[in-house]
Formats: sequence, C-alpha cells, structure tokens
Amino acid sequence: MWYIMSLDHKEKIASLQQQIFAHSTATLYGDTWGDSLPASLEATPILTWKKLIECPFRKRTYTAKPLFVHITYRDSEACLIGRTTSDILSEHYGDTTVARPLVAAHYRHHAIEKGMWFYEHNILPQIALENVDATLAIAKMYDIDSMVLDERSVSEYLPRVKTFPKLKRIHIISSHFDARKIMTHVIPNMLTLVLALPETGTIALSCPDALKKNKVLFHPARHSLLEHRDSLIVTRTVLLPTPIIRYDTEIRTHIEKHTCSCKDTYETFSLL
Amino acid sequence: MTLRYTSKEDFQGSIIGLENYIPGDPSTKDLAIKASSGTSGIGPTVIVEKSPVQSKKEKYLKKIKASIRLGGQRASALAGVNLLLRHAHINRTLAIDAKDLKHPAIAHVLAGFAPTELYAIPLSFLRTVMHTLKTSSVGWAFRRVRLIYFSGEWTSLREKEEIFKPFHKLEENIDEYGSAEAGSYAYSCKELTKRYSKKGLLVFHPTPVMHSQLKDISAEGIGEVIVSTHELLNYRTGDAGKLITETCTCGSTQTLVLFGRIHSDYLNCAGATFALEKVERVFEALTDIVQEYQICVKEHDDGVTLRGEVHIYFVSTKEYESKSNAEDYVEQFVNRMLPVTPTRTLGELVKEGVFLPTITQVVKSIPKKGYKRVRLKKIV
Ligand SMILES: [Zn+2]
Ligand SMILES: [Zn+2]
Repeated sequence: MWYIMSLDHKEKIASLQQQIFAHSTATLYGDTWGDSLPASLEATPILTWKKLIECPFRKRTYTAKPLFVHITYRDSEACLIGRTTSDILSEHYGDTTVARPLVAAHYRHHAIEKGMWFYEHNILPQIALENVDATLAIAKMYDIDSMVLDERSVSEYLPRVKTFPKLKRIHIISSHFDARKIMTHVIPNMLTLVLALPETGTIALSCPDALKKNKVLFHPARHSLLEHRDSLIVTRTVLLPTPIIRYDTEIRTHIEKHTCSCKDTYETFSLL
Repeated sequence: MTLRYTSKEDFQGSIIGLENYIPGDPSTKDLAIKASSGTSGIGPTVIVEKSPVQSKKEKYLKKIKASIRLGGQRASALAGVNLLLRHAHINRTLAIDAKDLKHPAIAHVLAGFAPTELYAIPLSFLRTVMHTLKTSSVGWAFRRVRLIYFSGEWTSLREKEEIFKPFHKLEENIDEYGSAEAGSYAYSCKELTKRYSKKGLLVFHPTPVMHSQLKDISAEGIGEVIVSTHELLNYRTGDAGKLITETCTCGSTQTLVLFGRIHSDYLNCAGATFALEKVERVFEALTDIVQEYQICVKEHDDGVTLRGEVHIYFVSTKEYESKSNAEDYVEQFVNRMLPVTPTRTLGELVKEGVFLPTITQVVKSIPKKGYKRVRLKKIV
C-alpha cells in the first residue's frame, strides 16, 4: 500500500513515465510495459534486480549526458549504474551543514560518488585511503567535522569517532543498520541514517526525534515514493539515468504510528 | 642566482594550501586533498592542491569517451573524476581497484561499460587487471580501448608489448611523469615514444610546472628535476633526469630523459635487486683492499632476452696497489657474497646466464660529481 501519494506525485510520475516510454534507445521499461503507457503507477509492472541486470547498460541508460558510473554488487552479480553531476547534486542526505567531511566507503566508486556530492555543494571532501590509520592521521590534519560512512566502513571508523571531538555529523548510508552498535559510538544528535541502495539512491532518512529516543524510524526522502508491500517498493520521482519506477528493494519494512517534529512528512516506518 | 629549494621532508607532518579553501565557494571545485605517506614517526604530507588544467591534459580530456581509472590513490581518483566531469567531453567514467577485481562478474561488467580509454597511474594496477581478467576476457572487455594513459616503469620493453598486445584498437598511449604531492610534470607523445622506443628510455615533454634548469648537473648532463606548483615552490622531486633541446613534431622543444631516483637505496635490473645496504656490507669486508668503489649495473634488452651486467670500479688501497690479483679477488668475492634475489647471489645469476660475467677494474679515482655508489644504465 501507499501510505501517502499526493496529486503532485501523481503528475510527476505520469510525466516521468511518458518520457521513459518515449525514449528511442533505452528499453528497460518499454520491454515490460508493452505497447502502451501504464494507466497508473498501480498498474505499472514491478522492476526487479533480475530484470535490471539482464538489461544491457546502454539499454537501461535514459540519458546522453556525461555519467559517473558505479558498480552495484549483489552476491555473484553486478550492475553498472550511472549518475550525472546534477543527479549527484540533488541527492538527499538530510542535514549536511558541514565544511570538512571525511568520506569512507568500501568500494572506491561509491566513495567517489559521495565525494562528488560534496564537490557539487562546494565542500571539499577528504576521501578515505585503504589504510585506516593513515586516513585518520590526515583527518586530524584536515580537522574534519563530519564523516560519511557505508555499511562496511562503519566498523572501521565508528570506534575511532571519540578521538575527533569536533565531529558534529555522521551519515551512515546503508540498507540495514545495527542500531545498538552504532549508538554505542555516536550520540543520536549527530547521527543521520540514510536508507539507500546503490541502484536507487536515497530511499529514506532516519527521524531525528526517534533517534533521540534510541529508536530507528525512517521518513521517505525527497524524490522517493514508497510502497510497503511484502517488501519495500520505491519510485524515484526524478528522471535518473536508469529511472527507478516501482523497484523492488527487497527491504522489509513496517509502518509505524509516530508523532514527531519533522515537518515535511508524516509517513514513518521501521526496518524488519 | 641561487634558488631556495624545498623537498618532501620540509612538508612532512604538515598540511599546506588549506588557506585556499573557502567552504561554500565555487573555487572549491578546483581543489583536491592529496596526501603522500610519511616516513616512520612523522605524519603524512597533506596538500590541498589547486589543480592546473594543463594544455596537454586538455587535449587528452577532449578525446575521452568512456574511461576507466584503474587503481591509484583514491584521492587522485576523486580529483580525476571531478576534473573529467567538469572539463572533458566525456560520455562516462568509472573508477575501480583491487576490491572490484575480486568480484566474479567483473569481466562481464567491464565489457558492459565498453571502455575506450584506460587511465593507469601508476602502471602497477594495469598489470594486475590484465593478469586477473586473463587473455580471452581482456579482449572481450577491452576491445574498444583506443587510448591508455599511464605512468611508471616497465620491467622491459617486452613486458610493455605483452601488456598492450590485447588492445587491438590502441591508437595511442600517453606516459605521464609526476608524483602524488606535486601532480604531473611531463607527458610523452606519440612521436617522442616512437623516436626513443628502441633505446628503452623514459622520455617526456616537460610541462610549465617543471623548471627548465635541473639541480646539480653532472658531467653527463644529469641533474635533479625541480618543479613549482601552486603549493610547492622550487620543489626537489628526488628524480634524476637530463634535458635535451630538440624540436618534436608535436611542437614541443624539450625532451626530458628520466633516470630514476637520485638517492635510490636499491635498483632493479633483469629481475635482480641491488640493495645499497647489501652492496655496502660486502665492501665493508674488503676495506683492506678497496679504498673507494662504484658499481655500475647495466641492463641489456635485445627485445628477446633481458640480461644484466655488473661493472665494479675501485680505487685500491696503498698496500694492494701493486698486487695484480686484486681485481680477480674483489670480483670473485662480490660474485660470491652479494645476494641479488631472495635465494641467489650475483655469481649464481652469472652462471645461469641471467647476468653477463662481472667486469672489474682498478681506477685512479671515482668521479665525485653526480656520484652514486650503485647506478643503473639501460642499454638497448
Ligand atoms: Zn520525524
Ligand atoms: Zn612530441
């Protein structure tokens, strides 16, 4: 079910679907949609990981603009995903009022993409090296005020957070979070959990009010429309190089009743 | 006029260029944080580098369609991607490292990306990629590669040929010379590479970053390469080079021949390693015979086999000046005592034919200018 879907969303998605349908060379969606445009989002077939990787890169690229490409790995399979600089710029990571971030990610293409986000916002990022100690020695000299981590760099960098008293924000970008472990190293006030998959981009952001009560609850991110079915189905309301229309994230969620001070959204859910 | 030189040691443990960073200002897009590792006890050198978009690079940037950056420092890769997305007429770019090569689907993924340019600085990771992907899938994944951009030394001309063999559509390979802390100083060009290809020398056209005057030039014209960037003024690279004034078809009027490190503690030749420390230890046992010495390691590459040759020059002590067998004694002692691989001595490699017989000569003096105890010459 959709928890919330505004008229604005409906219009945006209808226009997106038209652009996708009209594309001359990319066929990722056209192949499953058939000869006619889906009547509504509800009537649109669900896109799966399997369909995504079976489609060649050029057939799922709906833009001719320069792309930064990263690789999304899942078990023994892999998929190339492109982003333009404006896609990277418009990605939503919540509170990012920082000046000297350290970006650490397991794969370099993921780290570079996050680094490019900062460049697009005129912020100079330090990118983590393979060697954690060397990275932290440089971080001390650069006097970092924030960290952006992925699920695999969390265990390397979170235990060292305490040696950086000036840190004011930590973003953890992942599709699952070990909340208890994270909370032993970071106070909730400085934490943002970004629910994301490399192929979809940001799906949802943690509710800061809930975090203060040691609860991990999410609100949908800007440009993400969510359906809570057997698993979470996401639609990105922006035209990405590989658009995300009703994509099955395989993330299991639970809608939660919750009142908080977050103004722009009421939909709240937790991860199962 | 005497220049005040700077070197890596002057900056170790410090961060420079940070004053150029104004958070939120568009000029941030031209900055990059680069670091080079520190020596024991001292921290790294961190440079907030203002990237100069050089003419040669611009020419290269215009050619790029689908490029993959292979390895190198992550900070350089980020800076490079940032540069590409802003200045190149690029279609797409991807950056991978050893972690990606571990994935079973990597050859398939790279083929799907269909690269037309490879950027391999330093060269070492290109070797790993070619080895990992194996011959058949390299052809498949890299069949459209037209341009390879790299830096670093090949172990031999044959190695270079072997690595480039699977790239059937290769039109050009550009060799870059530079360092992590000061960026790139010089580039090769197609004509230059062709002109010097048989000599097996490392040759480049200098960029304006490089000084037109080398430091401490020896009788052979070899001196230390000096560069000046936004952040590093009169910076000693520690590399030995020779500048030749000659006009190239590309329009450049200078050629830099590079000879490796000035203060090198070891050198590699024909698969063997000559460590200064080990050479010194052997000669310490010869102090009653040898007053001063120099060993010159030569590498012969005839395109089929790579062979080394060692020349030992020494000034005899007073006691041994008149003794005719001093040369033989020193030669046999060095052959027997000097380890050049983890398991073998120089003498053993001579026996196996990997090295030509050692040549030893008593001389009146060892030249002081540009003096190095162990030096390498490549002969083709
Ligand atoms: Zn909230
Ligand atoms: Zn030239």
